Amino acid sequence: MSGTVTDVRDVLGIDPGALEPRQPPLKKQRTVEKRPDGITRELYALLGENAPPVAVVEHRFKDKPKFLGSVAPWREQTFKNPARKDGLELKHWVRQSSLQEGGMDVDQEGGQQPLPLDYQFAKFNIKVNILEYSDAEYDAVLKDDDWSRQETDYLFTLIKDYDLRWVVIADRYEFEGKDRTMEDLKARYYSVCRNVMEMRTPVTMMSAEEGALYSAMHYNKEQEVERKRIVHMQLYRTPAEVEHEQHLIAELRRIHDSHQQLLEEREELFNRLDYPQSTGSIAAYQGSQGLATLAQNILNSDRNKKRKSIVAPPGQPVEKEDIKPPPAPAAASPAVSRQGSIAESARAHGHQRNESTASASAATPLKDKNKSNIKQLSKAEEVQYNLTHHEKLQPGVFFRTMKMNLPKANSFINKSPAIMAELNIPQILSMPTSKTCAKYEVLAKEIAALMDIRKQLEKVEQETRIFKAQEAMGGDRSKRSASVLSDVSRSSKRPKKEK
Amino acid sequence: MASTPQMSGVLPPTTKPAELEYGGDEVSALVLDPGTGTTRCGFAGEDTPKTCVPTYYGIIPDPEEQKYFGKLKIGENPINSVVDGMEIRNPMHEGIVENWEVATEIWRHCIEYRLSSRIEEHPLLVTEPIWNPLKKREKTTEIVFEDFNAPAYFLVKSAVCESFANSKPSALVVDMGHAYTSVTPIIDGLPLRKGSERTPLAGQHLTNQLRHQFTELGIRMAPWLTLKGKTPYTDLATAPALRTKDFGFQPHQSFLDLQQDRFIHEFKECVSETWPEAKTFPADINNLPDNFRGIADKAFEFPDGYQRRFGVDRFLAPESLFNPSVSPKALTGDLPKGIAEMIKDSIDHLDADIRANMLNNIVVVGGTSLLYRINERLNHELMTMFPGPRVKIHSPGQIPERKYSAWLGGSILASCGAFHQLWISKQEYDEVGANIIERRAK
Repeated sequence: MSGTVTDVRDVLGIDPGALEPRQPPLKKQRTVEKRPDGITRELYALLGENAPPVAVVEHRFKDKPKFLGSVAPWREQTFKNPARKDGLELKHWVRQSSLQEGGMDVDQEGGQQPLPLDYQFAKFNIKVNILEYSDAEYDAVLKDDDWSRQETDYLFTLIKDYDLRWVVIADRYEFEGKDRTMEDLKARYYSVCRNVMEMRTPVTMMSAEEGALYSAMHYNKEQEVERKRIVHMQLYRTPAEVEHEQHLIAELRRIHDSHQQLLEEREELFNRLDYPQSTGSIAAYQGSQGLATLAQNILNSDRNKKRKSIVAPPGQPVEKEDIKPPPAPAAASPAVSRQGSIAESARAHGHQRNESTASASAATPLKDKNKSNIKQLSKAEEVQYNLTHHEKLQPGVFFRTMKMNLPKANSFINKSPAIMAELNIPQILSMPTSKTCAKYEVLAKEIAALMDIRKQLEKVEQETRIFKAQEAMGGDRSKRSASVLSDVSRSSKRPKKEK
Repeated sequence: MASTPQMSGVLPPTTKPAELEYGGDEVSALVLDPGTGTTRCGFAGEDTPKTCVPTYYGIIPDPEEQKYFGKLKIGENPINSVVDGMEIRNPMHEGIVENWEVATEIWRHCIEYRLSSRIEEHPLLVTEPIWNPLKKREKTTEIVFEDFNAPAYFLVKSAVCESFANSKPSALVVDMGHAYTSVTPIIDGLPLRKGSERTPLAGQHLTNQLRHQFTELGIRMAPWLTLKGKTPYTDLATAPALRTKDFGFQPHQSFLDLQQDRFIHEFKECVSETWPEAKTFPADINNLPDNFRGIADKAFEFPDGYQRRFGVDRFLAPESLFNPSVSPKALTGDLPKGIAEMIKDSIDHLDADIRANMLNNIVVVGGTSLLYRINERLNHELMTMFPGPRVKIHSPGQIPERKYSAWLGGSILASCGAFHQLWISKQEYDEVGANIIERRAK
């Protein structure tokens, strides 16, 4: 390590002697004491120069605490509560800084501060809005044989005093020794409110808010009394009843759990069957009836599977397609699902409609079923749907024009663009259906043949001219010319044969 | 609904106040919680009363004295010192003041002497039992404004304070105090009169039962104060002679009773225990069945040195709180209802909708509720009575909180910012008179 440090110094051009760091601390003088006899080495090692286990406490006073800034003084200040009408002044302690924020100097005014305008707890002085009715309104719609005006007024005072706490109102209600239940009081209050509201604004004219309030004010006394009776019964159940109820609750929970389990198992089954993901809701299977149907379907498919293995017993040579396991009861075979729509078969799953076909398809051998399911097309239809039959399909994707059987002759390749342009046919087919491709091939071949013939013709004409010139010159080369003629006829015949 | 213009700055009635809003605002109010056993007094905003003075007072009768007909001795020390001719009396009866002159003096003693406060400078909050009649409430108002000259005052039901002290606006408060046990349903801080019940089965009843039980056993009930020393012994037949102090006069019997109450109180705290289940309590404790499985004995030493182990008999007096028919000392008149029975009656009086809520919020407070295992027993009895709904008993774990729950609730209330609009001011009293209490503190 020290070596690298000196290297760095050398590189930086620092005199190694000048910047020698402080002297390494002197090694502590270890005072080796001789171990006294009769004490083990391990124990003696523990006794050695270990730090004392207790912290050394310096004997001095605690530091003076450092306070940030000066202490904000608190002043006793009178305040008024705006919720009070009598102007009672109470005193509370307020921090000086918050007083000064309000622009008041306490020291100079000597304790007589102006009162703060707003008391922070005044906002909790909340009153419930209670409807009030006038004399005219009372006479018009609120008269009741059972309720006098005084009693109605008394009821409304209580309601205002106790902020619609019906339990308390019913508890405090004392009017001329009348025995009123809470339901009586509520019924009267709500009927008064509804009547007054209706009188002020007819129901049809009410705003949505008012209308909601109006309908919320509807009070069914009989129903309330009945409800309370049931609540009472529920409260005073005997231990046996409570036990029975708990038993029922446990039973309900058990049923619910098993239902949940069933749902999970069904889900798992779906996944296992590699069933196409159903996009529709499973609401149809939520009910017990739907579940029963589903269970029946599953059971049927299971049964079908077994039956099928009996139909094709092991050992018998089975057709290739039969070896494949049927993927799903409804989606009977890949062929079927390819033929028909997948979504449709998915929808049909579990329904009675498809059950018969499923079982039928599973019962009969698959090949027959395929034949029966494939629609036999007429020639015209095959053409219409562009259906073709091939001995052997070439693997991979390709353009049809790439596979066209065109003449390879150089002359054709050189000349064909000009000829095609002359015939007003594009070099690359814009619609290369199998039909046009075939026609194009025929055309190309004919062009090639014509070109060949023209070439031969030119040759023959040329030779004819030569022979004529030779005849004019002499007749000893007639034998050779005959052989040339036969050659010409042979070559001119060849393209005709190919046509 | 009728749309009254909202006061600006007031929260709309549908808005909930902020969760952590600090609601306290100290106005240096005093809280006075007068009870039959003790009168608690202190500053609002504190968690325990500053002073707890016995409501029992000493009087040396003197017909010449016009006001009290005697010389009053108020406070812990004066009533527990041996004075010739001093009688011990109580100005309260079942939580209601009977002797106003003395009660006023005791309250004044609490505030001026014990708290060293000038009574006319502080708003005063006083608690009262729910059955306090209108006459007494008006009298209290009169005293506070006329005698004490307080700037503001309010009278609040102790049961409401107790539910507040347990941070419950709605609760069924079971207060087991010195003179009475009361059951009060509270809804949103308002007590319900129809479900309120009370019974004298409380601390004083226990003391009387135990005193009777000890007398029956032949135990000498000499209190500590009258004895020079004790000689330990275990056999009553060979009891050594009492080493009584010679005062030169015979202390009044009421004084001796109060002194006896002191060691009986200790017995209640140390030895008495509640039997956990009603049905397994032996019918005849003197003739226990062979297969009876009891609970461990506890020893107690009386002031004269008599040591005795108490077995099933130490459960007898507490048992009489739940089943008054087993009281060692037969009760005169109509047999009162047991405490659990009383709670059931209270619940039965309530509206069906709030019963379940009440059963779920039973608050048990008061000094007598500190009897060992009393809540267990109460819970057991209520569970048997109401097998369906959930029964839950809330009881403060701290002993001072349990004993001074009413005071603590008053302290919370009087230091609450939103409460300051409720104070009845001197001005209002001058305008309306003592009847203002009925209008303002319902």
